[in-house]
Amino acid sequence: MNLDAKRLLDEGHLHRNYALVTFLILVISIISSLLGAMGNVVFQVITSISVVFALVFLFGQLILVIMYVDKETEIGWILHRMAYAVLFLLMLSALLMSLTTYLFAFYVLGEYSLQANALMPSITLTIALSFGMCLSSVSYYSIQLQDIWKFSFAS
Amino acid sequence: MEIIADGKRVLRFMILFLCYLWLGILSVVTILYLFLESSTLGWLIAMFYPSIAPMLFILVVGCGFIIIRFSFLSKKREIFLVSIVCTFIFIGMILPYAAIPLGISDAESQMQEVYGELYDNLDTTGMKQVPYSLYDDLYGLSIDGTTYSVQYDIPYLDNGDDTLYFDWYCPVGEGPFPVIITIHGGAWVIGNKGFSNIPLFNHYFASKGYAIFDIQYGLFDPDTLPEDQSTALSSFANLGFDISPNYNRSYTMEAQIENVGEFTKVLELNRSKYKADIDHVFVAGRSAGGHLASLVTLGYKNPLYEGNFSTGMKIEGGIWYYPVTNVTRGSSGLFDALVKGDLPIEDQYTKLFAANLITNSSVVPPIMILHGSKDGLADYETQGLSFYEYALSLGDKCILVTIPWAGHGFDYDFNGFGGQISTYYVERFMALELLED
Repeated sequence: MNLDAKRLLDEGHLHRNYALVTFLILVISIISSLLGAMGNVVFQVITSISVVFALVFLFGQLILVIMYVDKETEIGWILHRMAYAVLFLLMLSALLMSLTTYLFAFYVLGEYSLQANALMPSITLTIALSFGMCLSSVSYYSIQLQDIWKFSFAS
Repeated sequence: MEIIADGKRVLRFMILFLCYLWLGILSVVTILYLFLESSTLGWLIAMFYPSIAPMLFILVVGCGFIIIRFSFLSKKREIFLVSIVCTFIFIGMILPYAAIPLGISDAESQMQEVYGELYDNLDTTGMKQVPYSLYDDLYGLSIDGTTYSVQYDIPYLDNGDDTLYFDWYCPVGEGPFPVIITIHGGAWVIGNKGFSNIPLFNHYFASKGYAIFDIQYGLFDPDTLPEDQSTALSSFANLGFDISPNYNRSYTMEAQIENVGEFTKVLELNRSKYKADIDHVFVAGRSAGGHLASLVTLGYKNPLYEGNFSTGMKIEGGIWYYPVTNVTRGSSGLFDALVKGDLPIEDQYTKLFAANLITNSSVVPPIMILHGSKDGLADYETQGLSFYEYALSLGDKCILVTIPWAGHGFDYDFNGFGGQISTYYVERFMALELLED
């Protein structure tokens, strides 16, 4: 095995593992947030920790995709667009959650504010994290394909 | 093809412009929050920014990334500059959260000191389990809406000029339930019951078995002042955005506390109708409402307020959120018109501010003060901390829960860190006082 092929394999492994870990943390955060809604403090603590890690890992995943994927290839082009869509969704959900926090605190929807207060962040965060899951899983599989990821030595 | 390329360029320019704008706005907000909390914009920002800052930071990271990616991918100095700006905003965002353990540990030691074993052995089933939870911050505190009902706009006073109302949050069951009277803030010139008085607080505690009475009181009209005196209060009144009722009369502080006193009498007369246990009453208020709550707490058995309050009720505790406790007559006489009454003006100041009133009050119910350390409106040092120390020096039971790096009105985001920590300790304070009784 020549040196370049070995480095390609090593870096490929690293990126695949990163995508896998990101995917798993995102899954944990979504599932635990659903279980946390039942009031179990343990699941709520797991959600709190996993959401923070999920956001950090997801940003890392976005940077990896945007920096290292060759957008001239067909799948690379899709991955690039997907990464920007996830970034946009993350920013949109953060903005919506910030705005709705105060809107519902002021009870703008009357009696429905209590439900909306719980529902709105669930919806926005779950959508953003789900798209993150899609991105990390597509990244994971695309690394097996040739000429999509431009690793450091190749670029 | 050219049109598409032009469209792409325009889109790219617009996105970059928005990203630069956002970073610029958040940088200014962070500077105002960290260094200029006493300015009008500063305290308004400190009121809302800390609890939503982590969410807004996601936008900052996104914008920073887009700027670096599309503007200066190969320019190290510019990348460094953008990173520095993002780091500065990050520091401003993370400070309150990094300081949460300090605030909690301080409050814990005070609770231990005041209640001792009673606090350790308190049955906290059904209460909020931790002072701060990110989960509750994201998804909201759990409130069971089936355990209480709400009746809005019940009139309690018609003085010929105006009618004052209250909202009644009643737990399901026979009662009587311990009472919380909540008084809204607004610098005595704006504000209303209902949506501007943290309704989630009322819903939360109603679901925990307290009968909540969210009341109106008459407001002072700054337009009745001479032009040279009205500036400060008028500018505050203009922040009201029409949230206040339109009263026909202007009400001084004395008249406002009479309104609140009138409500306590109505409550005593209708205690069975409203399922109110008037032997166990807590008075909670925010800002100017905190000031009025302090007068009810300290004045309800004070001869200075003879005939003002119900004689049958017993105040179990005062819960004062970022209250005004200590105002002396300055050379400007800014508060004179607001404070004036039957007594000479100096005596009115003694009667109408807690720091003076506590000195000559023989009955001082337990007090919990909740104050943000970055409060630029009701200053933390002079209005919260100094009163707390003075009350302790007089041997009165007083607890000061400091919400680190939080501004005035920190609990408007009821699920934010300020709202959560304050709710956690208020819930325990009331339970312990009911237990001790």
